[in-house]
Amino acid sequence: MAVVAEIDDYVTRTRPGLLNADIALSTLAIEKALVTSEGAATYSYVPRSNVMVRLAMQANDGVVDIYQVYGGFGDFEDRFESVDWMFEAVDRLCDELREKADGTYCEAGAHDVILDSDLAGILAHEAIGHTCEADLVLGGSVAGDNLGRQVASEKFTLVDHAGRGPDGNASIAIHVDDEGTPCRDVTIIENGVLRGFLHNRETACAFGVEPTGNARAYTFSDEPLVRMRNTAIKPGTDKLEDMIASIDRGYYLKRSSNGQADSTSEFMFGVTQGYEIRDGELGRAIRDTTISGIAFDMLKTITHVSDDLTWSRGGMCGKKQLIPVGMGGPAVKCRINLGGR
Amino acid sequence: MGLLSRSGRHRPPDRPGKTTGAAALADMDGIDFAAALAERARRAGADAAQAAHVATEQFELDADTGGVNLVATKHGDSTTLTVFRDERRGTAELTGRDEAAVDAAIRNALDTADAARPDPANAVAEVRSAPPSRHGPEQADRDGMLTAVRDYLDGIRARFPLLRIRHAIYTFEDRRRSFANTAGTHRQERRGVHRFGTMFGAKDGTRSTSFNYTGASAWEPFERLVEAGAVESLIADTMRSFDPRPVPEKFIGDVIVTPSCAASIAGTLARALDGYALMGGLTPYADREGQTIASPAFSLLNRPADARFPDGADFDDCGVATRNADVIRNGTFETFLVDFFCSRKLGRRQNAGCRNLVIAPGERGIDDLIRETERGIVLARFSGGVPNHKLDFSGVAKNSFYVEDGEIRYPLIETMASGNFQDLLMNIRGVSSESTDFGGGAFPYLAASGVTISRP
Repeated sequence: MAVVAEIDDYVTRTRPGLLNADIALSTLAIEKALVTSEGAATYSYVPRSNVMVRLAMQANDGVVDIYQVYGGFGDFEDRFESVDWMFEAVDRLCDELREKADGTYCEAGAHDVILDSDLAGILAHEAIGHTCEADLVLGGSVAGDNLGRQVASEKFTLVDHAGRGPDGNASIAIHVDDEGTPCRDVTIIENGVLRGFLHNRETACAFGVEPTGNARAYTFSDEPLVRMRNTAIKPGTDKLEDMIASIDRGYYLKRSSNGQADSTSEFMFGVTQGYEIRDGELGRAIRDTTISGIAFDMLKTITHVSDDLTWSRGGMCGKKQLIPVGMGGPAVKCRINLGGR
Repeated sequence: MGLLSRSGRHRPPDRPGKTTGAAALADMDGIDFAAALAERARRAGADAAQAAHVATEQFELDADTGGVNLVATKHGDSTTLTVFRDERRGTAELTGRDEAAVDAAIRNALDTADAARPDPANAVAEVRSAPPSRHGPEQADRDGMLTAVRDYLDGIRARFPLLRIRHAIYTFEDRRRSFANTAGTHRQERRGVHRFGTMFGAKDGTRSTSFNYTGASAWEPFERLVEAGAVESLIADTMRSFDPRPVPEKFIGDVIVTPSCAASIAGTLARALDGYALMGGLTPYADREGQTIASPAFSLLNRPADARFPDGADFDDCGVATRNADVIRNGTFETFLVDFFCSRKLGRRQNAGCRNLVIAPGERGIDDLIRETERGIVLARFSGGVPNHKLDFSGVAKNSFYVEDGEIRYPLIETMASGNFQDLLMNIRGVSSESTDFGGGAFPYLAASGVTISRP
């Protein structure tokens, strides 16, 4: 509570022009003990702690808001022993809000865009990950017809990671799934070729493969379902500045809200922060918009993948049950459909 | 006795009472436990306290195209304790009733209150108690539910062999809510509700349709699950959705919003018309009460106390009796949705605390609304980003169809709808007489103009 109050005081003191500031602390620690009649005996404790800051201000044409989640894997004390670092982050968020209030609406239609690493994570999760969950493949997802085929640019590799991911920084930890299967990394797409699906024991049996450790349940009374874990696009070799410079007229999309996928691989996600790109340089900020595409078409338009990797801090996925997930990636350049005016 | 017939102990219904004596917490009825918990919190240092106890027994059947894959009975016992001290509020939740958990919850709630900021609006509701109420059946007809699920799957296989049921979940929940506060308010309610939800898509060779999903709740068991809510019409739409394509070009046109989609739009509007949005300065409708904010054809109603709807409630989380309210009536904005806390904060009369939204049906037939559409789309599911406070929206038109010259032409893919809900409300040109009852509300078709429809 002191942390929340301290941030709130800081915002109130330094940004009197704001219409509203919501500061919310959320900690979720999942402790699981699993024993199965087939010999599995596991224990896990997976904490996650986040502070969400949502700010609103009056623009010329109405109220504009922005939010950001800070924190990630770990108990509260691990993440927020000191909050001095957050003051600078909140300052940046306030500046971004002001830019957004003066911002412009996107032009509806297809555009060249840079999806920043924040957005790439939700791209990995929504656009491809869900489509490659084996239960959805059995349910008619188009991914089932594309195994072994080129579905993306050769620059694109997507992995659903066990543990805490390749860099040890993913926002959840999972070593054994909720059916007692040891977790292993699943390469979903490798250099653009669709290589594998995510399985629990039941779907693995249906496909004649080994289970991958993707059976997850939220509470003790929930049945394990096929779920993603830490799903991330593999970083490439491009530099973000060069990627932006390569676009004459398009958008740099930085931050997302919600998202949804489909068995056709058509996806959408909300975008809450970004900028126009004009002649290779960042222009005005944009207002909220939505991006969409057919994943197995859009992924083929990827021409650049940046050399960094960023993980989401507070991703939750809803598929009958809620479940914490990790989503990560570098920035990617692609062509995508935007909502707007 | 059928395979799924229940056996063993079934807890008796709660009896009214205020006993907070030395009986073991675990043996108490819900209302006695809630009263005892609130009283213990008061004795531990709270100025006032309230406890809301919920006990559930849920029977669940899950199925997919392959058949029934899960049968489960789940029991829940949870309580929310809220304490007030020096105009500060603290809350803790506990599962179960053992002494250590109860003591910890009281400590946590008091600690949280001590850390909170004071607000004179924080208080228990001093409202009258009422006799316990009960609605719906006490027990599930488990064998009947299983038969209904199997009939649903068999019917789908026979009528729609290309349809794949991703899931069909049929539940019966016996839910008992008990509320007590230190002002002496005691409320009890028991609801037995059937719920059905299903998700499906169609596949023919390498051709796949979008998935769709819907659900409904009802007091009585669904005789035919395919007739629950909008299930049958959405399945029919799915079967017409192979080989979709985008709209021919970007244009500004009409949307015919289906009942399922209207339900989600109603939720978005209700958030903008909520007392909390007013309190935070986050609604575009501040100072608009009594003014026209929608077409005269449009009425948005909150009906938590309507006995038709099993998802309503007799009292809210503060123990206050729910009441029905007209939010928008014939295009005029009547009132914000104000719950107990908002009423004290804003100095307004409380008119809400639970939501059960309804859009009133109109007088036009859906066929007429489509026939009058020069160019537009039937918007069956809006898959978009969360609308901002101005109520701008943009998203993908899922499970939707292109309409031209008064006729539905073809299913859509890669088509986005963008606009503003404030404008959309004013641009409603027709509301259908047909309405779908989802159990948590009822919604007609809406026809509106001025929406940007775009394609890649």
